[in-house]
Amino acid sequence: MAAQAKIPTPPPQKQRRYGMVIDLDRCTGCGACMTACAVENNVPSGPPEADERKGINLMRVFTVRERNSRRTAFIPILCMQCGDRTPCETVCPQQAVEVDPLTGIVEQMPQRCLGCRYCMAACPYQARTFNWWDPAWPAGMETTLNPGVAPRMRGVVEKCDLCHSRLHAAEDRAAAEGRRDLNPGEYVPACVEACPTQAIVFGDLADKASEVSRLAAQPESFRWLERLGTGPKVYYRTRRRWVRDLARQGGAAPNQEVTRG
Amino acid sequence: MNLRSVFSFLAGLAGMLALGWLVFPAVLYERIPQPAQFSHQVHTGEAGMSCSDCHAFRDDGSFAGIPRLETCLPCHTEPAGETPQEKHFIEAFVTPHREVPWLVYSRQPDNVRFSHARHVKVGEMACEDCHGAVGESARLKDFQRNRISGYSRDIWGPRMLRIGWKPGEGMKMSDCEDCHRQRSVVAGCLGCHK
Amino acid sequence: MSATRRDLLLMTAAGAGVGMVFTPVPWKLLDDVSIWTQNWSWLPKHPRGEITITHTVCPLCPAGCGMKVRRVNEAPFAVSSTPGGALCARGFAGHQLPFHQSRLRTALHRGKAAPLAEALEDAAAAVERARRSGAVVAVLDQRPGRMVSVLYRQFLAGFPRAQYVTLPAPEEGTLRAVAELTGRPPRSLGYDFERSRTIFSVGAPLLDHWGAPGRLLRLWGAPERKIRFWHAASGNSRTAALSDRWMAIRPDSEHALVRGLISILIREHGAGAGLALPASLSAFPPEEAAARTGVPLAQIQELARELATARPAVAVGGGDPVAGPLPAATEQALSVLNALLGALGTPGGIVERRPVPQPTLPPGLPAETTLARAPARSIDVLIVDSASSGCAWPLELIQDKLAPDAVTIHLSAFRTAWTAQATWTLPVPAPFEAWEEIPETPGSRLASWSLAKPLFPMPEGAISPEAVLHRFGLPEDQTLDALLQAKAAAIEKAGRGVVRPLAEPDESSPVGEGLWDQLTEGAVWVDDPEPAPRPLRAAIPDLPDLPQVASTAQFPLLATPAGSRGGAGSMPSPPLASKLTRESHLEPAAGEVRVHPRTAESLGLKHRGRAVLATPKGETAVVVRTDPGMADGFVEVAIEGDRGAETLALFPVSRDGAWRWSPAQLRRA
Repeated sequence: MAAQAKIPTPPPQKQRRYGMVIDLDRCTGCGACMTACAVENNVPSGPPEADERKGINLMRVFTVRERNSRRTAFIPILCMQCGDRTPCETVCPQQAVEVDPLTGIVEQMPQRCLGCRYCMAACPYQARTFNWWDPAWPAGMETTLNPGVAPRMRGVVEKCDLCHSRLHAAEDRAAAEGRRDLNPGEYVPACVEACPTQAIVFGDLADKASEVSRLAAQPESFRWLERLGTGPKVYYRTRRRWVRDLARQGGAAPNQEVTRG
Repeated sequence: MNLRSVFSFLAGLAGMLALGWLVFPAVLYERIPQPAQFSHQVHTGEAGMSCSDCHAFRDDGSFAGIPRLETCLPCHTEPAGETPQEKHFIEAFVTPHREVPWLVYSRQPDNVRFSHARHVKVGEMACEDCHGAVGESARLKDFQRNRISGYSRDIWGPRMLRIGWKPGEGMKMSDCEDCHRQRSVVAGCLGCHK
Repeated sequence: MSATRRDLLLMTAAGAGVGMVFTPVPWKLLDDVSIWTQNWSWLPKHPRGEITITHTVCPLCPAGCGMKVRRVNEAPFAVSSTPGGALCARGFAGHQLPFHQSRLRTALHRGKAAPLAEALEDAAAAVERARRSGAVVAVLDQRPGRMVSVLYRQFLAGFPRAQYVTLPAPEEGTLRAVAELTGRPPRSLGYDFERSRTIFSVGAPLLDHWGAPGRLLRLWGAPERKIRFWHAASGNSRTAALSDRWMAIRPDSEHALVRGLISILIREHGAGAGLALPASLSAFPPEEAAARTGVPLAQIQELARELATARPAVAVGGGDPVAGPLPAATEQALSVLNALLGALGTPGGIVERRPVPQPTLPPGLPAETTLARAPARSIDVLIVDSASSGCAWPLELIQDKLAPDAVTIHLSAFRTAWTAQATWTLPVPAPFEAWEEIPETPGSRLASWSLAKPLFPMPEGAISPEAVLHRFGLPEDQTLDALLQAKAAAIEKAGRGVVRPLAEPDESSPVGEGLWDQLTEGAVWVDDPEPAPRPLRAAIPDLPDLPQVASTAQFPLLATPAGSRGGAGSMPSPPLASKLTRESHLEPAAGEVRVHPRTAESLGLKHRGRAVLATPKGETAVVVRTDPGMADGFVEVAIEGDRGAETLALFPVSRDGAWRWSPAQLRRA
């Protein structure tokens, strides 16, 4: 077609690999990240029956205690944004999970989801939650929902997508200036911004000059359950050896262990 | 097989075709007239305005879509012409200072993210590429609401089977995908969903 | 063979069937139905519209943290901290509070809905009767120091007998004791943490949501931090986890620990030289402190050594948002400890906070009394202000002060345990629905002032506290607006302090004309620091020994209430904050108790099992959580959610207004 000949093909966009480094020695377990996340992503407060198994948490701070001691660490767990052999993506029968080639973000499409929850079983980080109830807000409260995030329906799985609405807003702002690519720091997820001690550093791991790449490469940094080879893009760091050992074994203290779904 | 059987078959066939092509679309879509009338033709022609005079970008790059009443006020606090439509608009909305509850033909569902800024400012697309020749319309057609999905008719487009579809005639996900494929612009699911 | 009618009908149907394939019917229906299944029509729709940003301060508690609010069509949908600020988990969801399920939309008469006009008329009549008969009318204010507090006092000045009663933030417990020791007025002192080297907290949750949460978290999280945090408490709180050293003392042994430290400091480190010290202070045997706290003597000595050498050092007590103040004797001992550490009126210690320039007020306003000090059964008509300190108080504390047949008028935006008991409850605007004034943060060393903007319009059927006072007989020409403007003018006139815009706190400017406009647009006024703190002189008193709460055969355990700021009290928690508490257990969740696994085992209780908690004052059903971080024989009882007040009522209130410990029993349900 003649019309098609005119169609310009823009240059391919810059490949990014968004990731974060969470400094566990700075995490105070205050929960600000969890609330900020829930508010940002239109997570309803749910019925009273929603407990640690059935409640929706895109981000959850776990309390772990060293065995036979009173030492405590707080560990924020969110979607680890696995880059290799992403377990949830490979098991999804519905292609509702996808690793975005542009951003490296593991994306979950609630509208495509059948609710089989294979992905929840496959996720070694328990970073996925199931909508046991339709979202409901008290009368009038819909006016206070984030316009950038669609409410999810009952019967679908959801998880952290690194505050996609914030990425969208940052892209719009950049586009208003005629830019297609983002400058560093233009896009940060809500949890990163909420942390009162700046324990979370967020950025592009593909950019070797970024702070997040520099921190991720340090010997104090590690990833949760690295032996599984899932290639998470969420790094942790701590000077406390027992916390690092825990990451290798991959377990919370027995009384904090949570199974979902 | 006799003639009567053939006629019966053809009657069934013709009946169904009539039903499917004439009655079904009328039943499937609920026609709702717009709360006020508006002529794009008059505004872009005689008044010499462009799309972006009313459908503007905000500073944060978001698209304001249908203008609010305040955009109309500078010219329409008093009737600028003599049409009964304008008279109704001023009496029903301008004087009581009430926002017009326009029905948006191209309203996408909540889970769709569409960045006008990225398409217009970065992708350098024209409004007509997706919206068709809205700017030349003399009057606002009735809004057609799908009784099952609640979507606007314009998402699907005027052609019931979408055969011979042309750009600007619909805004289904497949239409977006086709265009993106032609231009080799990749996006993940959440590039366009939220 | 001729076709039957049946055959013809079949042929017609076959024709229709074939024809259908060539119509849009099946294809369009398939598409529309699948779309319908993906977007159920009953799902709530998010708003669409212009996004604007407003900078203001959080009105939920006296900390008044800066917040950047993103709004769509004027409704707030998300908040974040302003630069350098640190909103707490509740602040991030606070804008949802007006929609809380316990939100009051009508007036209440003894807990039952009543028309506002009627309730207002009856309540006004009761107030008028009190005025004529000379009965005692009192106002209870949880956030003293605001201009509306002045308005309440102006209102009370019109009564022959009146009391202005406050329930100030518990963060100031030690400061109040120090103020008494040094003869300073209440609320005139603050902590100079920024210049401290050792901060020793006795049961004070400094790193939870204490004071302005951002202030201490910033100090704690500073790179190359010089300040060391010591924490002595039985509970395994976040402060315990985050402190450099946590002394897990036995329940109710705070007093013994402080006495032991005083004794060691005098005996071994020559503290208090130059002060006239009663002999009893050094007579307290440190071994007894070790025995009563269950902490090795060497560790107490190590703490004493660090306090004596790593100076400036300061000791902080009280401040727990649900466990309430420490017993008055312990706070007094802490003020003596601070005097021995040389922390009174010195950099890095407890320093004077310059009072905010105030407008000239009419004479004869009633003076402030704290609720604990108000005479028992003395109040005939009590008006309770709606602003919350974010802390929980046992109802008994109030009920003890009420005369028989007293009338209580509660101004509240929510249905709470307090409103259930009140004679009348008048629905006032919820947080974020009216202007709220935030004076200085508890514990701060600098005075400050800001105004929280309304983010929602005031709903129909609500009435402002000011309008209630006018209805109750306050002259109409005395208004809150006039007082606030007068305060702004007084600050302008004094020419003290700087104005920090919330959007860009670094771009502060000295106070000049237009302070009022700057404040209403979104700025904080902060006083200038005094060049050098003035030393505070104190006469060291003899300290009485405090008997420990005794457990009995029937109640073998010791229980303490646990919770966080804003989780209980006269205002509910934002729904999302309670949800996350319930699901993450970062904070005690409603209806739960925490015990050591050994304690649970000895009582035959399991993790997540049901149990009954009993104290001499009653019992309640609870769910058990075991936690190896807890002290053995100790029960931490969550005060959260709807049943929080009911659970807190299980704790007996001592004569000096403390309710920290109770003997308790835990048994299987």
